[in-house]
Amino acid sequence: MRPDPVVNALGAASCGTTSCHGGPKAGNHDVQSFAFTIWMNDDPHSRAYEVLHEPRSRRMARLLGLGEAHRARECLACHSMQNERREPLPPEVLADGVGCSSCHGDSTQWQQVHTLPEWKRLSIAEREALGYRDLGSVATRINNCLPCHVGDASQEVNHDLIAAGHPRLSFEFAAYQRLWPRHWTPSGKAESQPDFTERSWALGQAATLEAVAKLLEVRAERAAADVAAERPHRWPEFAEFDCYACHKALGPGSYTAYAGQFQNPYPGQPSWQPWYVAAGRLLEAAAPTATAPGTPSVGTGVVDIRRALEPDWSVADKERLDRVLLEARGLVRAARQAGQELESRDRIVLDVSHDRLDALVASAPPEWRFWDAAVQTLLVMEAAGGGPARVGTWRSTTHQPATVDTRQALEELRDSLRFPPGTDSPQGFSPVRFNRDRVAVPLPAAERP
Amino acid sequence: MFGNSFRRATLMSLRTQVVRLLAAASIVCLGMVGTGRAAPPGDEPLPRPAFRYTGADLCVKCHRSEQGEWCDVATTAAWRHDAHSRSHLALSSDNERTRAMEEALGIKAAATASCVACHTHPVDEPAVDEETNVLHGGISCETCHGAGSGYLDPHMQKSWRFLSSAEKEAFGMHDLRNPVAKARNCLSCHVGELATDRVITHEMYAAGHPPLPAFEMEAFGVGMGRHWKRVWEKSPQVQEQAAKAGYATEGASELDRSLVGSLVALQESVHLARDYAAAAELDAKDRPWPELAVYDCQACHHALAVPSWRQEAGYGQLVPGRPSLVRWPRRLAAVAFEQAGMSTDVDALLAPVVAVLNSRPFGPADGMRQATDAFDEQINHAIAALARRRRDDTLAARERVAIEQISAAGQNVGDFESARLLAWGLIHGLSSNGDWSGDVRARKIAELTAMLALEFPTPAYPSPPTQGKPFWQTSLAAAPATDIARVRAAFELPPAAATPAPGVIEIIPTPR
Repeated sequence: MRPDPVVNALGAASCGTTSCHGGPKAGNHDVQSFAFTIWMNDDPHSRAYEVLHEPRSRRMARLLGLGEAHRARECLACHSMQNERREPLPPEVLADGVGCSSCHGDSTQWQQVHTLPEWKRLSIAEREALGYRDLGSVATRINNCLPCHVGDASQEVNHDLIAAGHPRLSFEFAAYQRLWPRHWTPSGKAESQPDFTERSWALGQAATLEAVAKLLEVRAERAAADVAAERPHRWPEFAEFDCYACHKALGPGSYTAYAGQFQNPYPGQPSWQPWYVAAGRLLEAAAPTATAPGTPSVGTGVVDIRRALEPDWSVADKERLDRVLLEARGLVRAARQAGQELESRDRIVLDVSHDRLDALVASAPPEWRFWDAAVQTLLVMEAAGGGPARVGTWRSTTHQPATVDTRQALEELRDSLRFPPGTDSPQGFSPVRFNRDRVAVPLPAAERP
Repeated sequence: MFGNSFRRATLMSLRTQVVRLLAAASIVCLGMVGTGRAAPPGDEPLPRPAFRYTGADLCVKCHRSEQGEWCDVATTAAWRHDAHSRSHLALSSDNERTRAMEEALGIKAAATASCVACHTHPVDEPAVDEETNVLHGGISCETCHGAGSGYLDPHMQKSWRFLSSAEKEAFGMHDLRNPVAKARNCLSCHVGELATDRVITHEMYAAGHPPLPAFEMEAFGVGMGRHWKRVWEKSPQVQEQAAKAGYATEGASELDRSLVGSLVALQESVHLARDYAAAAELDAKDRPWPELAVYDCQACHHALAVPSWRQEAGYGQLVPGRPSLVRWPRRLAAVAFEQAGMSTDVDALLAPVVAVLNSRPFGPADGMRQATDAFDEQINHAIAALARRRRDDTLAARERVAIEQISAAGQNVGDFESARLLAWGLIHGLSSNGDWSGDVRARKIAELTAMLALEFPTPAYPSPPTQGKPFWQTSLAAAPATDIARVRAAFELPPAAATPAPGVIEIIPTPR
């Protein structure tokens, strides 16, 4: 599933000559000729390594005892093209951060040939045999993002890292893709599919949920082995839980003090990843898929994990870890199945009608009190509505744009969810107000012309 | 002449009683050691408390006069003014908060051991009847001074005053002039004590129990309405008598008592974790490990901010992102360690505990108990060193050093609760020490009091009580609004005045 991470030691500079992909942008219409220029100038991935030299990164490395951030394997795994399978990369290649090869594949074998006319005649399979990765479809793109933006067995953002200063990870592929400076021409690519934004959202959420469940599985497996061997371990892994369940100032203005109600039936116990619980519930509601007997749906899969994980969440014992493992594997299967079915559809339609969302909120009120759930709800509305005008550089060339009113309303809803200045948490967030504002958004019909 | 010999006679008789009581107690102890755990449960009669509670009604009969012969404080009036006298009212389901907690937890507060243990006066026969628990009242005389059946009559005799603390203890009266004993008494609720069920679990907090504010024994004692005089406030004759009777455990000054209190608070907070761990090792089903309430609330419960003060503050030896044990006593305790001539590096003293906390989130139960032993030895040494101090002519010089140490610690303080404890310590020092001008002292006291919301909303006796908010509410409201950089600056002291300006600045009037 995960592409081979071995990368090209030549670095992005070998792609970015002026006559290849590093041409000037001005007055040029061939995106391919200045793809490198866009990446270098506008894409945050090109600065992934650079940030390791910033004061925040230096402090993180100091707090974690990692030595220098820009030399630490733990940091370089995602912030550069270095990975544990390679010899150390030369400094100039490290400096690329997340460069061309990170997504397009190790170019050692295809760098020469892809400049020649016969490249056009090679099939995708033939190209991939040389190490090239085809990124023309939504699904292949998503799988490039997940190892870093969710994490896996070899690289993860755990709570130790977050406490030291790393931002939390909360990935939603369609929104990230929209915000991302595009360095390719959309024609003939995923963008030309009529359901591009819907497909991006649905396949993105399915693949993300699968990766999230796999990471939970990896963490629980590790903890179970450590518990059995009576070794030090890190269970509960706090990064698996709602950040703001614990991280709120105590007092009447507390994030969870609203309405005097509890977020879950166990006072004092945090909820499992409300960001991904909402994703699972929304995916099932907006794009239902059939489930095989004995397999949970994505919506019940996330709830099953909550049930296994939340009561006595702080206890690490074999019985509990076994149950978490079981439920995590259940969600892996459910998400994979949902992804496969969705991918096989000719056209993915998302039902984000107010009736559907209202029914979802009514079905499990505690799950919709979280800021995370509100943001996920907004994101699926944006995916179904074409996205607000101001966000990102992507413009649909094939779709009816959402009406100005819809875009405006979505934009206001988005603004209402921003953290107050100087804070890094949703202080003052009110789910009641969000749901009132959500219902006021004039949605286009579920089925667009 | 007659009076003197009478006094000697009664004193003799009290002393004889003490010997008998101590002998009886040792027999009981021997019996318990002899039979030990081997005795099948039910064979032995349950050990009875040595004394029975007589009830505050009997105390009130004498301790109500404004200027009685035996007591020079209107004790009863002060106690009625004191929030402790109303602590049981919080158990009533008439309170909105109590009702919400009861619903969330599925309990009745007045019939729940942990609620009753701190909110009502203890009784001989533990009542499960919620009516009774609410009725038998708030924290009153005998909760702190000890069950009265043994000392009720003896302590009315004139010769009582000549008994030492240990002799009074044999009658069941606790020595609350001893700062260590008093601190343990207060902290059994204000930090918690598992053996007596005086604990607030994280579940109880999450259901709505207010957080326990950082506890500084002397300030809280004054804040609740002090109903006693210091030995050094009493008449010279009484002071002389007290010295003869061995009342020297009073401690040298408020500041010294405050420093001892911070050490005991630190120790009790570590003991709470240790005791939960021990209970878990015995597989006590009702006390699962980890109990989140033994950890530092602010370790997790801080609003996330940009830039992050939490990350700027660093984590010491702790792995970032792992909960630490309670931190608020540490800054003042570091000054106390310094005063005791020991290392001020509290984190280093707690290194074995930190190692346990690093080995997995919350630490394993089985490592916690052993890890606290070495720490206990160190902190007991410091407590003993400070408790030995006397109110002698080196007091002013010692106090001045301690004030300067607190001032230095305050200029590096990182959080609201630790700052409060330091500020209270500094205020105790400045209110009695004349090495700074009266202006400087009064200004610093006022500045820190306002900045850190140190004033108790219900003013202490004899001021009339007002309908103020509870203390925890004012502290919760003040914490997020407090600019820690300004607090640090407020801890700066100008150089001491060239000529001492002796005289006590009364934070709250001395009781009549």
